[in-house]
Amino acid sequence: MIEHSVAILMAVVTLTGILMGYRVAMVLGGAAALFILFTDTPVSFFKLLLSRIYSNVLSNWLLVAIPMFIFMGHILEKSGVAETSLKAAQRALGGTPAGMCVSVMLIGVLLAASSGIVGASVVLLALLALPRLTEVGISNSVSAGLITSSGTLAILVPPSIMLIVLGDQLKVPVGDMFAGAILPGLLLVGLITIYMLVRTRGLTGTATIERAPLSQTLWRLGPLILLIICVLGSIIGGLATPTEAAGVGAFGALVIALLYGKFNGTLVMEAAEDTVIATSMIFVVLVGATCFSAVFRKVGGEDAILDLIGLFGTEAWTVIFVVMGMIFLLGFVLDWLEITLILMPIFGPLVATLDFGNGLSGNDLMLWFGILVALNLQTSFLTPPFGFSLFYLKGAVGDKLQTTEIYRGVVPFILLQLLALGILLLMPGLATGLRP
Amino acid sequence: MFDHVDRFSSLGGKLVIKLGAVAVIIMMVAILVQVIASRVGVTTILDINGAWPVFGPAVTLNSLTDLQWYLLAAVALLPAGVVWLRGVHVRVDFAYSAMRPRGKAAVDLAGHAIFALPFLVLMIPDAWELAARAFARGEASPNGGLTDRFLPRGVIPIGFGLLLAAILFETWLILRNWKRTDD
Repeated sequence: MIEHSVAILMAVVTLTGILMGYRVAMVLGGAAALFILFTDTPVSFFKLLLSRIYSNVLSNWLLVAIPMFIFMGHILEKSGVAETSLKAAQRALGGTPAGMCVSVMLIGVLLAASSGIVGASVVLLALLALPRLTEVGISNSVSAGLITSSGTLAILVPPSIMLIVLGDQLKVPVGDMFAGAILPGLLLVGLITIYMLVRTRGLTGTATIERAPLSQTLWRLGPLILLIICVLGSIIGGLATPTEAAGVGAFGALVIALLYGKFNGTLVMEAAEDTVIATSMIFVVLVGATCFSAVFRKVGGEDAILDLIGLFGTEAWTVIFVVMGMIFLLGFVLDWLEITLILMPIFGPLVATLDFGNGLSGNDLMLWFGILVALNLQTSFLTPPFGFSLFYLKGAVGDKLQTTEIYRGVVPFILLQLLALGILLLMPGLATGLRP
Repeated sequence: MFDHVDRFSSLGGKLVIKLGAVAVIIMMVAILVQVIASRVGVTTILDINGAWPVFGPAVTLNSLTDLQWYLLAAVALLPAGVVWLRGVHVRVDFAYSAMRPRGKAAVDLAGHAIFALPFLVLMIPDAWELAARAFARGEASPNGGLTDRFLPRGVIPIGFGLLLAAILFETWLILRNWKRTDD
């Protein structure tokens, strides 16, 4: 304990700042500065950090994919293309309680694969689906859980910004991360479907939905699905880098908007302005967390964490359970971005040395680990009190859902996420099987 | 005085975001051109003979790659101050949202003093020095990309300088309104 006192103090100061509600990006940067000033770390350490920020963050061409995917998502969202497609899918899937639930989730998948913005997905699903779900007799809490967990698929299903940052940190090619997330994503979708089929048994309500002819459904859904296939296919198939695919994908989104007669200059500028705000937010956190992470390691934080894990044991499966448990617990208060940036440089090298007896090593091992972390971090969007998706839902529906209903409703879906995590632990092939 | 500063900062903020938006669009176009040129096997796209600043002797595939991350660096950090003032940055607010206005103001003041100011005051001069050094050395791409590496390096001190200004502005607002803030 004594030899780790500085690292523990740094963690305590940081968590206190975060829990008091000061903005996280500056808590991280500030903690880095304080512990350079008040320990024997030379002040010139900051120059080293700045060089690292310049070479790993700012001049990292891969990260150009981040604003481009955000831009693509905002174009699809603001032009109403996402909404039109959603409605088409809703009509196609229909009016029974089970059909409604499955359609909400499939639309979640579609939104995830095209826009990948959790906030937009949850809000859109809430506005479109909540009235219909209530109509067919599904309780408020189940609806809340379904909407938040379907919307949160956006962070797991590729193209996802989280997978890009995770791949970058763990040195796994982004194409592999994208391919690796597909089967676990589908597994989760399957689990939620089964759960919803069970929950809706005995409900007999029907929703008032006009059926649409197949041709219209295809016209409304086709271009979006084609865009998804092109963007993901070219990355996973190795035909394009993530940055190229993201840029071309953003252009494709503009073409679709044009096709539906929704294209105009204001739309493009608004989507681009929102992209600037989101990008700047992410990168200020990236800078803050990069500084925090380096100073935390400098004051012995890495050893402290490794020793903490060591208290539970050194056997590979024990280590991975402890690591996953720590990520899950931190997910209650921290965001995926900070967890990834602070802990992956510590956990990555640790896990790389382990033998799980499942034949995984090298890149396959890191890919499996990366997807496990992704699935785990996705859960952090759902865990009260600080789950992003819960905020977005509450923000979108206002008083139609009580906070307690949302908290209660999300619990079974968190358990389903953990079940998926458990299955992926036992079946690494789900992550490594589709690797090109 | 207050109204002037406020109006100036919000106008300036809108301008920064609009310029960033244009940069995002240029970024997309640069990727498109790069994808097309690389697929048809062209490496030198335009021989400009040094006529454009930053681009050097010719527009090459490498200069388009560089252009994308130069723009990314600008979009990422130059709006930091504006984005801060818009209050969209993430906070863990389950304690914060339950506080009275004066409690919130106190958390923000303490956070500025304990976290934000030491960080920015410590990093900005160093970042400036690194950018100045890149300028003095004429740092440029080693492989036919863009010149003037001091530009993306300079984004760090300028972006965080603007963030510092935003935080000082916010501090001033909180102190100015302190008496009128409810307990």
